[in-house]
Amino acid sequence: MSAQTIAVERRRRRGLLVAGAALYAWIAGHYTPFTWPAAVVTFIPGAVGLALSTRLPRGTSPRRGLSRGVWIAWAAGIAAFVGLETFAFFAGSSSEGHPTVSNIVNHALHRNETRALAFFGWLAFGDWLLRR
Amino acid sequence: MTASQATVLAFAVVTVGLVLLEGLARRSPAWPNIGDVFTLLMRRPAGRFLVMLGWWWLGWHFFVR
Repeated sequence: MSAQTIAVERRRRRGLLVAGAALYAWIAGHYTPFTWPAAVVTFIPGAVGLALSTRLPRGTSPRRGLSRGVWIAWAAGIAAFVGLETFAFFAGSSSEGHPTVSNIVNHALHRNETRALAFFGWLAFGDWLLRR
Repeated sequence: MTASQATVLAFAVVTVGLVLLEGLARRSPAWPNIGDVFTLLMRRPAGRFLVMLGWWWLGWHFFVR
């Protein structure tokens, strides 16, 4: 089998995977939070992702010789975000007081279409993580 | 400015800062990008498991609870 045939086959599989994920996300977005169908459609990809994370060891290591200062900037930025979220959570976690990310994002997730889009983003993020 | 507006603004500043950092990191090969950050976090099996557990919790938090 030629390299070109393998590349075409990989693209075809990738396309099918993306189309399947989009369909799944569209269906999942139509289930209201706090219901058992919403729990089931979220539980399944989560469990699959977690199982794959233990079965697909990538064994990758970060690139060498990267800027130490930028690593520190990433750590500071992530710590600031987590710190802000923690502060907002313990300060009452409300839209009127100190909103957490959930309070801010929940407004956008009221509509089925935006929830489906966010669900697709969540699936894509999981796929991206598994390729690390 | 209310407390709510200040908190939203702080989240926006930090988020924009992280996005800018990612944008600059993609232009410079010597700068770690967000992919390098997660590669570092997931270089060991326990790290991979914990990051994926965090991803699962994120989905559960936003789409179920």
